[in-house]
Amino acid sequence: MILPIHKSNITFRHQEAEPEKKLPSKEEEDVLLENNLTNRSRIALDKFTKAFTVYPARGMKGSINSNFYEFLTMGTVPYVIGSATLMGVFNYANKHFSHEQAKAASKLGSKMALGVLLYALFKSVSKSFINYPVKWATGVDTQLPYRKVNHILQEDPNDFDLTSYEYHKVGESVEFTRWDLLYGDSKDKKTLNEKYDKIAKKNGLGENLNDSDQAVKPLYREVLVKSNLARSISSYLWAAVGVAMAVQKPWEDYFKGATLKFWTPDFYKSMKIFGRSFVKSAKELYSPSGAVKNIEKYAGKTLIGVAAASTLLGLLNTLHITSKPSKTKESDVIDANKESVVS
Amino acid sequence: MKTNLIQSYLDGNNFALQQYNSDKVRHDFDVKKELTNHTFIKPLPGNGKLVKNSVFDTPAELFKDYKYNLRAFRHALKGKANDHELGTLNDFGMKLGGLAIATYLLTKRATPKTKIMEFVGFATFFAAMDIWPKLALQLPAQMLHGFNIRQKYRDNVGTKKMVFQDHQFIPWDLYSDEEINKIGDRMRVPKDMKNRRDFIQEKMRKIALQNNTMWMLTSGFATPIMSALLCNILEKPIAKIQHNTRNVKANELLANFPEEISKYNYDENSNALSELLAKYKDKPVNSQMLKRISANLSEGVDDGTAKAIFYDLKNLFGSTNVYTVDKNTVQDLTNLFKKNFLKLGLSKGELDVLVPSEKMAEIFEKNGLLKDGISDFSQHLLTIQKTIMGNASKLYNSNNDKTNLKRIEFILDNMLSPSSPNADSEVKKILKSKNSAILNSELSDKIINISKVLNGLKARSQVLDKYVYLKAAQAPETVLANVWNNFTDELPEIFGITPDEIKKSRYDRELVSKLLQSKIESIVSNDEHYENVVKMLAGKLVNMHLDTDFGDSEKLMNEDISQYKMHVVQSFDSAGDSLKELNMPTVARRIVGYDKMGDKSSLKNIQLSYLTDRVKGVRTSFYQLLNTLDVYRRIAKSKDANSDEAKLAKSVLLEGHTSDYATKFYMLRHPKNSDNLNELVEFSNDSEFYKRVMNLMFNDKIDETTKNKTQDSVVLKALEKYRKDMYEIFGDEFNFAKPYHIIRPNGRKATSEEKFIQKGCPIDEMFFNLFKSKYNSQKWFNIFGKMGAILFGVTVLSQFFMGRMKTNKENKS
Repeated sequence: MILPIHKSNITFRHQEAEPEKKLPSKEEEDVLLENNLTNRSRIALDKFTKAFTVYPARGMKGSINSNFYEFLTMGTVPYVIGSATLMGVFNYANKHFSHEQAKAASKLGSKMALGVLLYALFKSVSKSFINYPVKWATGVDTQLPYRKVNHILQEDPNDFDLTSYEYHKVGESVEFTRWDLLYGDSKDKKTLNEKYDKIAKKNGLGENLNDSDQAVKPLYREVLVKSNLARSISSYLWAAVGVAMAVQKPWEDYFKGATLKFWTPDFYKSMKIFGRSFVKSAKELYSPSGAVKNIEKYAGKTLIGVAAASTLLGLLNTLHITSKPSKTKESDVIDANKESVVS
Repeated sequence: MKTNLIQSYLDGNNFALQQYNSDKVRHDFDVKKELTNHTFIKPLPGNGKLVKNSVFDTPAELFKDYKYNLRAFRHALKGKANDHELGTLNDFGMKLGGLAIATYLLTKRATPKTKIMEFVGFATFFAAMDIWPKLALQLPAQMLHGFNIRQKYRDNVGTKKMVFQDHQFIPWDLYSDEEINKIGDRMRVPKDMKNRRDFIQEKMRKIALQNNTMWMLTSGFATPIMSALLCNILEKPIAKIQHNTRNVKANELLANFPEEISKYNYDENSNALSELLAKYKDKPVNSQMLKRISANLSEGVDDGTAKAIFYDLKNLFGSTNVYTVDKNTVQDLTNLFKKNFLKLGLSKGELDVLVPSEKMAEIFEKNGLLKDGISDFSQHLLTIQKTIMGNASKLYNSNNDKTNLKRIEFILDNMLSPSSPNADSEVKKILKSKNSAILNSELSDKIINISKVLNGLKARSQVLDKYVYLKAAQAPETVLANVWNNFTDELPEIFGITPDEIKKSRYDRELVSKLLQSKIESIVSNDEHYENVVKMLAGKLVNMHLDTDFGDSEKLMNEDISQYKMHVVQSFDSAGDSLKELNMPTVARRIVGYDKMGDKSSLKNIQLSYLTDRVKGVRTSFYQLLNTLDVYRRIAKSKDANSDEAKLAKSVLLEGHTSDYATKFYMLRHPKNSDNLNELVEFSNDSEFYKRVMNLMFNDKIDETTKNKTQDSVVLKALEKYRKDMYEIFGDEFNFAKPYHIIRPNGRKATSEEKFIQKGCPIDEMFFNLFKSKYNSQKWFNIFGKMGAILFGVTVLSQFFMGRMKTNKENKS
């Protein structure tokens, strides 16, 4: 039967030439990156810029392409703005006060502002106290970065750039660790398990294992979890040490001549005083001069001690790996299929 | 990784099923039946649950969270935690770090309130982090869009998450069709829409995502500002609590005086004394022993009392009148003789023969005169006389030298004889230079008793000092400081001073004075206004009296004795009496004075007067406000409102320091100015001027309205006393620095300290300081309060632009 032809049944459209089938290029694959200063800086800059520009724009539009990575990356925004606001809360109104009161308020305000900076600095640096020893001792780089390719949906007909890149860490999720990125070339047996082999060897699991990846994964996961715990607790305690450092009296020498005009000779002079004040403040925190009560005498020591202890205990716990396969020889294991007599 | 239940079942892995078969699973749900249905495998029904948001559920939720965190920590410690658990531990670390900061900063703060505020700061910061998204985003979104954008749910393994945390993975199955449609109705989504649920879900997703982004963008500003504002608001109630706590703490010190005293233990001091006494037992008293025992008794006392202890102890040791003569004494004696014989013009050789040092010592030793415990020196004196005269005879045996012999005899007689009947001769003084009293058991017991009395007084003083410190020390957050702050804080409101006026006059005391003058003139010119202001001021003065009754000088002057005075009098008097009995009269005088009733320099009086003087200074400062209002009122009502007396009184009442009473009146009105000075003075030769001004300010009758509004309370009586004291202290001839301005000859003597306390803080200075601090806090609050309000407004308004979606007409059925 020939169907009647209606207008609605007929469509005329331009047929696009079929694109050539290509193998995925490096730009279209998730790529493991080297954990070096250049990459870390590049990633930090990329995330920082996008956290203040692209991601909020997408989020505020309610874009379907906005994702959880972007939401988490935007966590930098309140951190940075919050730090600046906190500094402002202690300092901004001072200029309206009378001279002597402004001076007194600025003394406190400057210390609080420095406290915000040292909080961030100590928190960031103290993570290395966990990351590097763990890496040296176990071979597991908990901060190993990779670039993830994200194919986004077209929201606007004019939008042809449908690829976005995200920067993650292989071990950022202990449940969805990117094991696949740790494998080498699947066609080359030598390189396939190279990374797992190294970790296995470093942790005394043996060499030339048939399935080093299977042996290493539980250990790797345990290191990730334990080091995460150690970082979470110790970094904030070190950050507290940073704030405690900032409220010490020797900083007042620095505040008198502090300048951020790096193009002037005064800047270098102020940096020298900064260094000197830093050392003096550290000493003052550890052993305060003129302290009368015991609580004042030992508060700084205790804080530093607790922070150091949290790092040490966290490290020891991380390095105490329980997920290693048993070293019992195969011959010593009772075969369940065979009969055995228990006397 | 989330367990694949289907695969687990097919593999026969029962662990996953056990995990699934938890209490949270629906009881009628048979997982085996569902999974064995191979013909129609469908997704399992969602078994997460929305977390209830009622306030009544909060404790239970908090308990569950606490349990979860504990479990997360345990898991992480063993290396078995999941991502969510690690996330909660990061939050825990952040709070732990915050707590560490607050605890450390607490040690750097000196006063209880500032210490508390460190923890308040910590708590408000984390509270602001939590409250801001709820208040500025969740609540408006709920009201406008009808659903909770921060709704939480608990999944089958007990993990609590936000439903809309990741908008690409929203567990929609937790919402029934009914609930979604209800939300849709609120969003005014057409009811006849095709795929209505999908549309509503998309709208909800969009709103949630936009709100999450807004949260990230605003919380950086909002959290510190909100935290600071909360601290600012909480400061007053905390100060009030701190004030009450301090007051109660201070009162309990006196209420439980014996128990409080017993907390101060001087065992260490007593043991050290016992050791000292044991060491020196039955040994001759010497200067080292005196110093060490005196140092022990003086531990914790002031320098003046320590000197008195040393002095009395020295006398106590010396009162036994037994002495030591040794070779050094003999050497001192020979030196003395040589010095005196030198006057005769004798050569060194002659002197050595006449008074041979070593030989003299040998003679003393030979005759058994070098020993301890000597009370009779007759043998010593005889031996000296014999030896020297014998040597002199040998030296001057010829007739020519008889003169020298007689001279020597004369000098020797003078040296051995006392100048008056009760005095000692020069020689005897040297022989008595070394007291050889023995530290016997009687003396030891006496010292132990002295120590007990002194330590008892020290313990009592410690408690009394602590009481005084809490109540009225020159320190922040004492009861008196709080009274001052509370009183002055409301003064701008009472005097009708606006924030703008504070802003304009805060830099200059002169401007403050002018402002106050115009404000007071405006108040006194209006009957109703004046009545109100006096009433308010009187009310505050009554409260001030109640809050400062611990230092009531009225009570101290009358027999109605305060508890504090009772303890001071008892403690010091009893210690003074005991010390007198124990032969320590200087120390006793230092403690209670020559006369128990007076002696301003005694420790007892200092202990009493410090408290009363501090309270008096505060009271007079505030009573001058009421008196100033009264004087301004009387001037306004009088015919001589523009007289010189009135002008000066107005100025002095507002700005006058103690010294102004001496300088201002004198310089302007010196009756004996020279011709040259006359040019500089408006009206000379007016010796009554000062008297008239003083009468106007402090002696003339109080205004009737002032009287009526204050007579119901203690205020009128106190005002009258204040005026009388001012009139007598500043008007007396002894007190006024310049002559010819006497208004009350030979009245009441006052020291400059008394005048200073009576004058109190000048009014313009009080307001000047107040304006500076008021302006600072107002300015800070204006800046950050406005910022907070604008941020809140913008955030709330942004809700109206969220979730906008075109309703596709084709979607409509």
